[in-house]
Amino acid sequence: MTVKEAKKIMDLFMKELSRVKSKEDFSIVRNKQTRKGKPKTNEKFKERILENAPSKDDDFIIAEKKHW
Amino acid sequence: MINKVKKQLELIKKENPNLNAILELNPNVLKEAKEIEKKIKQKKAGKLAGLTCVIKANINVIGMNINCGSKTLEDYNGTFDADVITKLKKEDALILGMANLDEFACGSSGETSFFGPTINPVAKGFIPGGSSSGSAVAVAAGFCDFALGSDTGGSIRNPASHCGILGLKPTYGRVSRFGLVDLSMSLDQIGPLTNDIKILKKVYSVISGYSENDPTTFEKQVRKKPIKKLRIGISKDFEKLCDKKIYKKIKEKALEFAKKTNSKIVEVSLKHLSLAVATYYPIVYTEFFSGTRKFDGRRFGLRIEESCGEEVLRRIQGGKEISRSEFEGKFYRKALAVKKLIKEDFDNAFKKCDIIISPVTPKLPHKLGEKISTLDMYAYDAFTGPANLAGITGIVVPLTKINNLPVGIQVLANSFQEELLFNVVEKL
Repeated sequence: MTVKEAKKIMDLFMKELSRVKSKEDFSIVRNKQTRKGKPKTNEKFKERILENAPSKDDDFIIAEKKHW
Repeated sequence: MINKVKKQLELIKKENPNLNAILELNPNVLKEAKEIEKKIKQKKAGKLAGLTCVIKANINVIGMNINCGSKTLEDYNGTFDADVITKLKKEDALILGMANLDEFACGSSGETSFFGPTINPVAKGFIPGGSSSGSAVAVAAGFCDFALGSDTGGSIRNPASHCGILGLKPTYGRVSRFGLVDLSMSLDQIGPLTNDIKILKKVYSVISGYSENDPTTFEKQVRKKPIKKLRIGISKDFEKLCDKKIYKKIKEKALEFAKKTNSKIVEVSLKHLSLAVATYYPIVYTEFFSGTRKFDGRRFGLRIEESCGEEVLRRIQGGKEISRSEFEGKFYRKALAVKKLIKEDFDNAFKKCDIIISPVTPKLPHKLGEKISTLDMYAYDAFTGPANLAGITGIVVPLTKINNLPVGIQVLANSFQEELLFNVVEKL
C-alpha cells in the first residue's frame, strides 16, 4: 500500500512539475580550489582491500551480488 | 541558576507525562548546573550561561539517546557532539534533555514519533506541529529557555506557529549541520525556538558561522546593513492558497507594521509558489532514501525498512522509485530545475523589497489523531518549504489566535539577512 501510494504521489508531483518549462543546467564553475595537493592514501589499506576482492580490474573491485 | 533548573525539572516531572515533549533527561544536569553557577560567580562564564535548553533528538549530543523518534535508533547513543552542541557547551548553555520529534523528522504534525505524539500545551486536542514538536512544546510549556530544532521544509517554523512561540530557520550554510541526522542534506538547517527574541539572537550568534566539518558553511562574516525605511513585500501568490481568515490577519499586521515604521508595502510575484510542495517532496524523498541507506541494521540500530513507521517508509519507497536506474535521475533533476525557478522568484522579489511577510501555514492545525490525507499533511509545508528551496532565512513570530488556536506570522529575508529579521521582529 505504502509503495503504491508513494508512486502515486510522485507521479502526481511530476505531472505538476512537467507543466513548467525549465532548463536543467547543473554545471558548477569553481575558480578556486579549497584543498591544496593530492589527498593522502594509505597504500597498505588499499592493497589489503584489493587482496580481499574476489575479482578486480586494476584499482577497481568488481563486486557482484552473492560473489563477495 | 540551580533554583531555576530545579524548578524547570520539577515542571518537567509534573507536566511531561501529559505532553511527551522530552524523551530523555541529561543525567548530569545538576552537576553541570553547579559548574556553570561557579563560573558565573567567578565571572568566567560564557555568553549563554544561565540559559537552559532541550535538543531535538536528531542532533548528536555525546552520551545522550539520539533516537530520531524512531524504533530503528531506539538504543543509539551519541558518540560525539554536533558542531552546534560544541558551541552551546563552550558558551555554557545547560542541556536539560532530548526532545521528541516526528520519526526521522518526517512529519508536519508531531504525531509520527515511535515514542508517541507530542501534545500541544496551548491548544489542547490539536497537533503541536512538526517535526520539531518536542522542541516547540518544551519551550511553550516553560520547560526550558530555548530549544534547538531542525528545519527542512518548515519543521521549526510550523510548530513555533502552532505553539505560539518564536522559531528561526537560518540561511542555508549559516549553521553547521555536522552531527545532524539528515533528512534532506540540501535543505536541512538547525535553528533555535524560544519565547524571547533576545535569547534567540544570542543563541543564533553562538551557533552560526563557518565550520570546517560542514563544507556548505561560509567563512566570511555577514555584513550588517542597516535599513532605515523598509520595503515590505506581500504576495497574492500566498493569498490564493491560504485560508481567508488567516490571510486577513496577516495582511492587517503587515499594514499596521508598515504604518508604524513608516515603511512601504510592495506587491511581489512568486509565481512558482504553488509548485513548492511538488518540488520539495521529490528532493526530500530522493535525499532521504540516499541518507537512510546507512541504516541497514549492521552499523546503526535496526534495518530501517523493517522498523519504521508509515511516513518514513513512504519517503524511502518514493525515493527508491525516483532513484531507479531506468529514470536516470530525471525526476530529481526536474525538481532541482523548478527549485532554481523558485529561487529566482525570490531573487527578483528581493530586488523590490527587503522582507516578505506571509502566513506560516495555509490552514489551521487539525485535531490530534484526526485522519487526514498524505497530500493534506504535505500541504502544511506550502508556505515554509519555499524558504528552504531558495536557501533564504525565515522567522516565525506569534501573531494572534483564530478559533482559539495560535497563529504565527512568517517574515522572510534574503540569505544572510538574519540581523534584519531580528530588527523587524523587535518592532513587529
